[in-house]
Amino acid sequence: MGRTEWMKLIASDIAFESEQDINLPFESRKRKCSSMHSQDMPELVEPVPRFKDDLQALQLLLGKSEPSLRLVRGNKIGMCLVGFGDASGGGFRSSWYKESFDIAYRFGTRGPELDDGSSNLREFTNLADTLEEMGRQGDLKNMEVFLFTDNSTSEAAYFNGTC
Amino acid sequence: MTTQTKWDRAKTLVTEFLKDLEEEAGTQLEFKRLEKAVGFLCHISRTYPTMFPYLKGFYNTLNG
Repeated sequence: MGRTEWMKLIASDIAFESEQDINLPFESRKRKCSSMHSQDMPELVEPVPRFKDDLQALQLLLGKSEPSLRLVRGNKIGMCLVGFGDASGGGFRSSWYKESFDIAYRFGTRGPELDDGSSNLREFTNLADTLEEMGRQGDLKNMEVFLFTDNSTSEAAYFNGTC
Repeated sequence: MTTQTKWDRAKTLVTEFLKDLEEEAGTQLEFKRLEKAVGFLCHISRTYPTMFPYLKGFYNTLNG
């Protein structure tokens, strides 16, 4: 439940059992309201179909025995290396600068596995496959990637894990 | 990076849920346990944002 919904709920009559409640700080009223509604929650729930896939993805991300290190802010000289990519019909291509200023590229036509896929899926797989290839070639090490796309579905997939 | 304790706890939570699902098909999960787990994993995903999209399965289960 988002903050706005909490505010609406807390502002309703339910949250005020007595006149003094109006003087309670926000967090206290939130706790009180939460405990009042906890009895509505089911004890058991049915997992959604994607739950297992999500758990497997999390298990993969948490696979190392020690916590992964994260580059929060690089402390070396910055350099902007641009890459481009696009998918059209059954074809795809992308290119990017390597640190040595050589140009790397990948292109080709899709196999039959994407014949029934949408153009959004083709756009997204091109972006994802290109990043994976860059990773394999070591072009993402100590790099921060800014990915720009005109495809809002790819953007949604990146942030939500699904469209 | 996060602490070893938190990392291990996150791993245990995920592994336990996976074990539950794999042991018995069509199993139902405890609401409160899921709620607690997703709260902690959400905390961890502030350090590791790549984990965040995969919490959707938790939220869809809780709110479904």
